[in-house]
Amino acid sequence: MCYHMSSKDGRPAPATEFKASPAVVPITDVPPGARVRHFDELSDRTQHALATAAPSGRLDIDPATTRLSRGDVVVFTEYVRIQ
Amino acid sequence: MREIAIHINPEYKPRVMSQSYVIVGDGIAGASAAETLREEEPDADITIITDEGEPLYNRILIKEFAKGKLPAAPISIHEESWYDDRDIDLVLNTLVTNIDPEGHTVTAHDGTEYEYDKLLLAIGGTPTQLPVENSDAEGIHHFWTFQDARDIKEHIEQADNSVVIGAGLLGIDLAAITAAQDVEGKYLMRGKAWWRYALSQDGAEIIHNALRERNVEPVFDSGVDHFEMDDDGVVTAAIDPNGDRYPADFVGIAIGLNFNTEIVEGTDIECDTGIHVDEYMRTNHDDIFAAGDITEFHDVILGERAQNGAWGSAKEQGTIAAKNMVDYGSEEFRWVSSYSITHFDFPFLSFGHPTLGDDSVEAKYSDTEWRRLAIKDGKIVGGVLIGDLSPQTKYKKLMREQVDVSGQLDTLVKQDFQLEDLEGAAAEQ
Ligand SMILES: Cc1cc2nc3c(=O)[nH]c(=O)nc-3n(C[C@H](O)[C@H](O)[C@H](O)COP(=O)(O)OP(=O)(O)OC[C@H]3O[C@@H](n4cnc5c(N)ncnc54)[C@H](O)[C@@H]3O)c2cc1C
Repeated sequence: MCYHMSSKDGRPAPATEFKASPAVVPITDVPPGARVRHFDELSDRTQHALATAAPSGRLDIDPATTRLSRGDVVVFTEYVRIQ
Repeated sequence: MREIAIHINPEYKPRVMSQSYVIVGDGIAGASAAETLREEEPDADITIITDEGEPLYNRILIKEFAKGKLPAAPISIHEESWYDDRDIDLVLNTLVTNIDPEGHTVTAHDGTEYEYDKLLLAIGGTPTQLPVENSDAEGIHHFWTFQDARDIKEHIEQADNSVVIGAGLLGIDLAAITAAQDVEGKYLMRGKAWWRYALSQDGAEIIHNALRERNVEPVFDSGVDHFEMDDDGVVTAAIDPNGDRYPADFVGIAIGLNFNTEIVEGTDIECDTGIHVDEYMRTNHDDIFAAGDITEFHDVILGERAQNGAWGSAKEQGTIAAKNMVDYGSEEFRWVSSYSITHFDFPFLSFGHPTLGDDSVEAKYSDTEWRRLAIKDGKIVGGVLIGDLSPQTKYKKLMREQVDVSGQLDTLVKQDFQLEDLEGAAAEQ
């Protein structure tokens, strides 16, 4: 089972499923099956949103355009999970 | 004499034979090219040949695996079935040793010949070895492949003390691995600062302090003269050019990359440190393209030849190469590369070509916040941001659009810099 297919491959569920802006929460352990992305794989816009995330963790990004999906883990200055 | 009537169908179009594409290298550049080729040419024959024993994995996450923070599973990007599903022939464990541009063939180490209509070389680089005594001792590691990361992880988990050599973006990964694995370490550098070609002393000091907090001690004006090893050929210490001895049972070396140009050296494909390509990723041979770290490409932003060593750039070059292999001239490579460090509790990002330029401007805002921009002919050509990455998109935009910022350098490094702060033509961009 490949844990790391792009959303183009059909899984995990595409980001457009987000009803509101995605948010990030710090995690210490990577949940089994989670897709993991390094910060450098993200678009400039998503990088900017992540680097300037509100204290609540909410990302200032259009949910329809980000290629992040719910449950993705991003390796940044800490590991964060997209919710 | 019998007459034969020949009916010519005006709709008839001669059937174009499907193209055959061969890609050497299944890193991110080769794999993204294969994916794009399949999208653009559903009927083409596509073969991807790699000397590695596993299909594409996430090279920029293997450091997290070696740190012991990330399991192996999420590092894999493609399983073999990914290639089967797309009818792409994946040939593993196969080193291409020869290219015949006239005959349109490549030959592998086992003598197998592969014919191509169009060839893509996405062959990256190999870590440079330190040319000093005992540098082949057991316990000395270089870092490029997933297998290297497995070996490093296994070894560092049992190590007592370490030495890292190479004051650049890969060296710091090795230092961060020793730190994450709680192994006391010395980080030997030439000069007085980490990545001294891109950072000033002020910027580098932020990194030095972060290393010290993690029990990795930067050692300046140092390097390696030779290694000592025991009777079993296992490394025991690094001796620097000053004669200082640093005991180590783990050594990591990252002093640069040798680009894998050997296979083109016997041909007339133009190369220098990398393979020369134009902005469409084509070499001086119409049917041979190159993508990723291996290219010295015509950088349309910089206006000269450049080389990138970053994941995003390699991926984009693979995609652009594929499009131009199908339809030459269809899309140029216009890209501002970036590369971040995620080992510390403050972010770090370098973009463009921070080691180039004829001028620079920098500012320090706090103990963990600093910025430097490299300027050439009045335009931004690169930069390094530590602590606050929010201006990244603005600087990249100015760089991409080649905005003349001369006379306004101080404005650029105002802490809350906005594009509207620029005056004159620059502001209109
Ligand atoms: C430890 C590490 C950390 C990194 N961290 C970052 C980071 O944080 N951010 C970032 O942006 N970049 C990072 N990079 C750089 C990034 O990984 C590279 O720029 C990128 O992977 C280059 O991709 P590529 O496809 O051009 O080359 P490669 O990934 O090197 O792929 C080339 C492939 O071709 C194969 N090959 C070579 N010659 C032959 C031959 N003759 N026959 C068959 N196969 C051949 C090689 O074995 C290899 O598999 C890092 C690199 C390393 C090693």
